[in-house]
Amino acid sequence: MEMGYTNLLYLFDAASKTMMLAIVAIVMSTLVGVIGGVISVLGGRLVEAMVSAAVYVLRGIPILVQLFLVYFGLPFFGIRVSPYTVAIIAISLHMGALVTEVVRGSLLALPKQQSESGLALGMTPLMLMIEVLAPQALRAALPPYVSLIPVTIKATSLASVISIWELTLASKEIANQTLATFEVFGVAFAIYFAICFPFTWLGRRLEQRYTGYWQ
Amino acid sequence: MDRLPETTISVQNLHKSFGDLHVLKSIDLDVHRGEVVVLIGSSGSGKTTLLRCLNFLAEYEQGQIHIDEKLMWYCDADCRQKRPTKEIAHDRAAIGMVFQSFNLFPHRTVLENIILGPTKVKPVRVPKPEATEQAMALLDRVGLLEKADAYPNTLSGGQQQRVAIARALAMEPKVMLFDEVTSALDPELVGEVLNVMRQLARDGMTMVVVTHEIHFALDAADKVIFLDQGKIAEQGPPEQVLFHPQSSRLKDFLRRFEEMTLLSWRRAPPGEKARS
Repeated sequence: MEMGYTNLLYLFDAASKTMMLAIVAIVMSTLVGVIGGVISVLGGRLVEAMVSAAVYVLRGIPILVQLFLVYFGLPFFGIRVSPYTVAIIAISLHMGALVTEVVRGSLLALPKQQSESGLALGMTPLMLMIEVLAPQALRAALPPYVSLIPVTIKATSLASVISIWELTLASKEIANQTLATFEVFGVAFAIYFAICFPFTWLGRRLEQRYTGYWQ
Repeated sequence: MDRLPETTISVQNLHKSFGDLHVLKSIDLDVHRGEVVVLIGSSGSGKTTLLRCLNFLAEYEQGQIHIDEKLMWYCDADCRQKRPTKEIAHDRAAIGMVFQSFNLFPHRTVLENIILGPTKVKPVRVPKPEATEQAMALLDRVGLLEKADAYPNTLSGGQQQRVAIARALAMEPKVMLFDEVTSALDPELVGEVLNVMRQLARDGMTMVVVTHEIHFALDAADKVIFLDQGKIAEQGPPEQVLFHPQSSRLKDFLRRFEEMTLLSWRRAPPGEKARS
């Protein structure tokens, strides 16, 4: 009932796969969220309604179900992709919906007068977004955005159910072989925590630092 | 040489509603080059809305507004064909506006606030060194040269408002609109902003000013317009409108102002005081 040194290395290797998966998912979900948030504010009523509907749907179903939906859904339409791509799509869409809400909320929270004074200067809506709104919204969006990063990292563990080899799946493998279940998942816990904690901490710090609007 | 049009702003038969509320009812108004027009009226009379229609921050349903003989906003009968946003933005750049709540950009320094327009928004972009030079000259003009690198939140209300005026002037506008620019200020800060505006009027800027500062209307305006319930109730030279009001509404309005100033409060006999 010993997990052994080799197995520990095996877990670290799996952890690096988890990190890779998480980094791609974070980048993609940020893209989705920024685009979704910005177009729902700039794009007029129809676009806003469409983005909101998508966000409600994505937020309303578990990531695990979304994962299965994409995993079995795409082949149904004759599209063949690797499980890795499936995991990235499902996690990025789900987390992207959450980031969309953060971006949208922090843009809408800006005083209306900021938009008006920009427009009165002769800015187009796009200029206004780039020069006035986005820089100010960034400050409000940063703490909640950073707090979403650990959520994305943890969500990658769900990819194990579609046989993507990452930390959770590797832990299960070793636990099955060595029967040292508690030790193995103890190590997995420690690794996940070590990866996530800095972001949780940073989110907290940013929140303390950037509270309220400029006076 | 191009002939400059005499009439800078021309408003014809302007109507504006917020839902069922008919805020502006058939406004006709001409503002000539270099003229200072002061709009007065109680809150809800539509004076701020009229000002916001002038640079199309507020959409209007009926009527026409020409700025320098150019139509600001149009749409056809069922409003399918609207004027492109870009064109409106382009024309707005020639109209400066200063707001009650200053609305400086808090993430930029005073200097950056002022040069943003000329370097990035103005139809003909000004190179940064030149824009900076102009901005410093404007800051000198409003007496805030030493605040160039300060952030807006470190300035007093009066200082912020003077920066806001400089920011609008940096676009070299044909017209300046002032929307109750001293209403959010502590009384002792009102004077510094009004002085900048008086100087601007003397320099020949065309200005439309919504204000409650009757003194400013008296010594800077060419024309005073009293708006009442969405209509122009009285207009004319300041002395005529303010000293010889015709309608009872304007008389009431001016009396309330007198009562508000401490001086007339002191001047009133004891019996009068108790009544109000």
